[in-house]
Amino acid sequence: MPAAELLGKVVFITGGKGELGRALAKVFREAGADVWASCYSSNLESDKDVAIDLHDTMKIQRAFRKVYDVTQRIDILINNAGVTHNGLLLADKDEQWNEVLDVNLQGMMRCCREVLKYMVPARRGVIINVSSLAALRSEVGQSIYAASKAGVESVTRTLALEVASKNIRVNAVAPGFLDTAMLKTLGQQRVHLLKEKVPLKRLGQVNEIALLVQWLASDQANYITGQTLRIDGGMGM
Amino acid sequence: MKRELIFQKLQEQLAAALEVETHEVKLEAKIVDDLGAESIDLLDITFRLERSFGLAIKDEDLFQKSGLNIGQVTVSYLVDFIESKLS
Repeated sequence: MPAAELLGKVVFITGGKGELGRALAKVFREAGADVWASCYSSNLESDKDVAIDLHDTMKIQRAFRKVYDVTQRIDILINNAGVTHNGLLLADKDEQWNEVLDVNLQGMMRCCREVLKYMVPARRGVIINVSSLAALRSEVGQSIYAASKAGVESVTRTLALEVASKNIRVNAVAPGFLDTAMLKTLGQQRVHLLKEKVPLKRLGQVNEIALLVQWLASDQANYITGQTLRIDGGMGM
Repeated sequence: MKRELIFQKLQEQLAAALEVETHEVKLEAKIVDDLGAESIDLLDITFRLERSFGLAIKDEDLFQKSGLNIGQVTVSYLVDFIESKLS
């Protein structure tokens, strides 16, 4: 069972204070892992919360160093932090594009580069990047967000190749429409229309994504690397 | 730190990074051509040297600015590099 295999593993989750981040932290804690959650805010809730700014390499270095100094290992990195942006390409500003790419793509790459300083010498590690249905399926207003997530999937494959010889696996998960507070702000009618578009006729639950990530991080998935697993109720078909 | 001690620590770190025996890590051995380092190993070596010697090293300083073809970088060069960083 994944739970037994994850006992004592050190897990670093970026975007740890969002709905998916909290669900991820919960399933890994329940499996007995030592979970460290990072967030942009300095409003930290426990001594295992780490402030991080994905734009800033030095702050990322300090965050990982802090965890390593305490634990002497980092087994699993989950790159879950991200920002979204809706806007027509014709109306977007360069700064908006830069922000999305700098957080969703380069921020993820910075975290990978940093954690590999600990995983490569240890000759073990798992990195899981959170992508999105948007990387595969086009929606109006999603050009830069979709591009950032397509980039995440591309980097996942390349990095998986680069570190495979060091017993480090790199994969991604791509959720579809999730039942989150943010989605509910769209209003009941739009949420209903979204559900109708999903072949399984419902929204995904953050816990379902978290359990997939947990399995992917476990030894049961030891022969999987460089893949993006889609969990979207069939939207990606 | 004495040069002999630097070499001894370097031998241990390179042997661990490249999964070779410490006796194979001779001063004249070339990191890539003789010890079989791949590109990711060069990063691993940099991280290990940073930690074991307490140095801040940019990998481009260690390998790219050596003025040498990457295949020509030797263990002896690394000893010199660490010695100069420590002094």
